Amino acid sequence: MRTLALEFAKLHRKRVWLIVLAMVAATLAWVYVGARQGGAGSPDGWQSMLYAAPLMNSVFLSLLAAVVASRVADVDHEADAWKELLCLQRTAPLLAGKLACAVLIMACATALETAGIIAIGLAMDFPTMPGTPTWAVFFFSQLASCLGIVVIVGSIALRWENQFVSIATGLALSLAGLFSSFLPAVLQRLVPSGYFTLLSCTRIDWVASTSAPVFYEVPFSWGDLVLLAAISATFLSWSYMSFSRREH
Amino acid sequence: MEACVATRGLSKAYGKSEVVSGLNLCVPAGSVYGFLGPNGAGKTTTMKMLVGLVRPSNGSATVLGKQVTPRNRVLINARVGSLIESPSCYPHLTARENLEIVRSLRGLSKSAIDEALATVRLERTGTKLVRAFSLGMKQRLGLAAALMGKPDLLLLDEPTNGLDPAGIQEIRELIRELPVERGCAVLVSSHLLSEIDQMSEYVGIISHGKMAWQGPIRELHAQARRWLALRTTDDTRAAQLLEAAIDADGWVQVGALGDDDAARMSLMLMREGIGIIRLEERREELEDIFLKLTGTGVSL
Repeated sequence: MRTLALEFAKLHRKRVWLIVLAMVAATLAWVYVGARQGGAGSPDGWQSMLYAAPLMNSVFLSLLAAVVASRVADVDHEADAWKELLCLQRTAPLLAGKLACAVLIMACATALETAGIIAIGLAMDFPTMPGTPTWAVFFFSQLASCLGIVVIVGSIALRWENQFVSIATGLALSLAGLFSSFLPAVLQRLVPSGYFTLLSCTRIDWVASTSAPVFYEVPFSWGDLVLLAAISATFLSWSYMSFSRREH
Repeated sequence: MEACVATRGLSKAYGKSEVVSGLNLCVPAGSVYGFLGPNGAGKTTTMKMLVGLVRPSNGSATVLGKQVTPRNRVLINARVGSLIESPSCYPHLTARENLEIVRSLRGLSKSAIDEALATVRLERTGTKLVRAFSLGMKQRLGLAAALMGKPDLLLLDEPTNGLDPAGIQEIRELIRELPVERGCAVLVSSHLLSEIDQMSEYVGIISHGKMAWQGPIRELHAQARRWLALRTTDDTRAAQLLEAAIDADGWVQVGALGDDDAARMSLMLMREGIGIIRLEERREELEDIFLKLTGTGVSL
């Protein structure tokens, strides 16, 4: 807890929460625009939002997760603080604190987004609001995808002091997220930002005759979660070993 | 003599380049030890090895009675304050907020911050962010962080860098007083001999990663060669009579003489009809000894 509190203290005045608010607002604005197309009281309004949000997240939350991960690492690069911190702290708690800090920020962003979607749905008077399990799955699937991005970009941000590398990676992942849903599922699994839609339980289909979208639910993809966990664990181990070996 | 830092054959190589080579350093407890050497001699690398930031290629280091290992370095460093290379300061935070991070890591009381800020005279910086600090103020903040928690050992790497003359004097006095007032030992590095001469009781001179000389600074002073230099009405003849050399500035150089011998020499010259115009006792400067030991300049 102390190391986590320290990470938040270091981020004071870094305007991280402002960035979170801006990015979540941008995502919700996009979701709202999509929801309005269906019109108030649309019978599949909730499903359309639960389908659209992961698509938006693969672009916006990917970028936000990359920015947060970069900020959390850069704050100590900028202060030239590693040597002081590593004199007084072991490497594992230090890096765990950083990871926990970034994940907690992303958890807040995802929770805010989830609350925002519910608020939009209620405001649009959509019928039969999904139950708590649906929202819990939505929240955890999106957070798990954020965790993957945090770990990957965070590892890069720790490794290279110049944050251009990590931010460029974040931008590339964000862009890849935009197109990942058009890729075959096998290739989509190779794109970390593709997991926002892969882990989502709402899918879409089109009725050929009317071109009308049909939303449907699929079971949670535990296999994809395990794959994402494995990718994250690989990057985490690489990052830890690379950072521990480095002399400051 | 109890040592609070002792290294045995401490070495560090990067590839084929050995930056520290078989260093045997001994810092007596409760003393100020000046670690002197030209830029690039291996001072900073040695200090980093003492706090476990750099792993030695060979040899060992014992700090405060415990051998430094990756496992126990954090435990040892809880009793060590360090300012190595540049101070670690978060530019978007105030001095107090910066020290709050160190306080929390060291598990100290809130009063430790006020004490440290007062010691380095930064208590009135208020809400000013560190990014607006001068280099000297940042250096003071780094010192304050190192002093927090009253460590038993302080490792200061060129601590007067960036300070104005008054600040340099102030920090030197602070370092000199630390062993007396707080009972801590100080290992302070510098490439300036005069600085070390003013602060330290012990000195270690490192050159090309090797210890060239180590011991009490008074012993270094005692090594200084002394001689008499004189100007006479006939320097050439005086030099012949005294079997002495004439230096580039035209002074006759005679080896160090006691009072009686000096009196006999002046009488002898007078008998030969040579008048003494000037007679000076000279001693080799510490810089010259340093130069001989390191084979390089005192400061770049």
